[in-house]
Amino acid sequence: MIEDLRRRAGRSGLEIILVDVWEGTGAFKEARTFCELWGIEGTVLVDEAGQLVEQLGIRGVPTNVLVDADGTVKAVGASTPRELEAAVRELLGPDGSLEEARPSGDWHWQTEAERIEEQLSLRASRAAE
Amino acid sequence: MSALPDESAVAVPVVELDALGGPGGPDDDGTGPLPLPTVVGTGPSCRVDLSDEGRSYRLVGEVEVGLDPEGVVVHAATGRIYVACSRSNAVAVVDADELRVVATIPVGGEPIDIAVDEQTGRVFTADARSDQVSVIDADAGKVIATVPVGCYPAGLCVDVRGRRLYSGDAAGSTMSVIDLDRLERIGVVDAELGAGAVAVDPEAGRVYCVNFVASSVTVVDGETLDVTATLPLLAGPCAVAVHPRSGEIFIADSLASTITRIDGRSVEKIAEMAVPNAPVGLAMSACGDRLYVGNRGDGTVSVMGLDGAEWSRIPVGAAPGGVCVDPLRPRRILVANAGSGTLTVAEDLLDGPPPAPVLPTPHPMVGRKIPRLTLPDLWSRELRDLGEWAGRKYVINVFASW
Repeated sequence: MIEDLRRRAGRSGLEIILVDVWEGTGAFKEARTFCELWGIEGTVLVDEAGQLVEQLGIRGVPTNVLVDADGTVKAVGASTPRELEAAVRELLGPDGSLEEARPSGDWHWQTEAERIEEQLSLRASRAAE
Repeated sequence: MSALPDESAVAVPVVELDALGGPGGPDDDGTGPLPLPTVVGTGPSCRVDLSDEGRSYRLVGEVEVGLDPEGVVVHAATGRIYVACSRSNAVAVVDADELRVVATIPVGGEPIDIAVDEQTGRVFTADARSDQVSVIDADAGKVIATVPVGCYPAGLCVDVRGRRLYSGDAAGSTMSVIDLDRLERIGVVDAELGAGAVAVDPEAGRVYCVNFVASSVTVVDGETLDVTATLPLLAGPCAVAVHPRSGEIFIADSLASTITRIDGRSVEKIAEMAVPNAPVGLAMSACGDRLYVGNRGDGTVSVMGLDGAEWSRIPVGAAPGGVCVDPLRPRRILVANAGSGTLTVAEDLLDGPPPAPVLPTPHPMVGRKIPRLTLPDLWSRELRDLGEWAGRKYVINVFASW
């Protein structure tokens, strides 16, 4: 979902930053595996000590924090595709542009599912070997 | 409406976010670190209502149990709580009275879910990265057997009457059927990708397996093990509960932030009910009048009527996952918090729907300045300052890989 937004937000100037938290152990390895599985290619930061969640008062994942150009937090939460879409459009305002979602809906979950199926099938066949 | 058994309640002090220096408070310049009540914890988008008049829950305690606890179950014969700590590759055993870990039992890789068979006193874990189920003898406090299942088992359900254990095998797209007494896999049912949580309706003889990636529920005849229906769901279903009398099914759609209510007989949707954020845990109350929903994205558990009305929202640890009701103390709910590595023990004090619903409020960080932070980049390992994005609009997506 978030990677889809990053691609669609290209022309708007909106930046997407992912922050990995609460891994407990092997944070870089786990985050990298996760990003490969979900096809995440953008900026990913790793918060092993939980600084970000502590300072922002975040108690769960996934959570999206929308920040305006002057550094003001405009929204926290917005985790479903619909909520995130609405919050981003509000952040960008009337002058901002966001490519339209695909006709199948605001998030092409089925496409994601097919890609994940490929990844998991590969993993299953490796395990069988 | 059935009343829950009465238990003594302990008064909890009122904690008002505004009084703690939140946005608009007398000392708020909008730039300092966010003050939060550390005594009770806070949900980011809920009102923390602990007043005597409106008291709807009591936080009994929070116990450190291990890394990424995901599943929790109570062994009724001993009263002990078993918590599957997936990143510790172990099960923490918690004394329910003293609320402390009394044993840690190593199991296979990444135990995600946990279940108990009261008849034999055996506890089972779904060891996702070992493609197996570990069998723990509760008396001996150790693993006595392992049972190979499909790839990446992510959910378990014990059918005591049918003497079976079901395992949803996520990457294998199957549901394994295990004989509870012989501890052998006796069947494999084709489910769909992301098969995980399983629930049994013993009266109807049906088994339900929810498929996270395929976003569906597979309905299985418990006798023949034939798939009788597959129902599409919203997105990311990962927990399921069956009403003990009506046979209705409730499924947590984690990516849609809804609970889907389904007629078990017709396998048709009755309602899609909104919950706060990323529900991944689900438990039915002992008397069947309400649901407990673990909101992973919100750090809370919603107490929810079967019609979808949110009666109460209980702040628990960070990124809660599995939720269960203590069969010996039916008001007591146990929550495995993956983010904070803890088990929250809380008591639901409501006898029925409250006079006023839960009121959503903005997250206290809204309107404040984003703090300056330096964090390493996953790909380059170079330190990057959030100030790098100053002057631009951006979204920070906070996530965990589990």
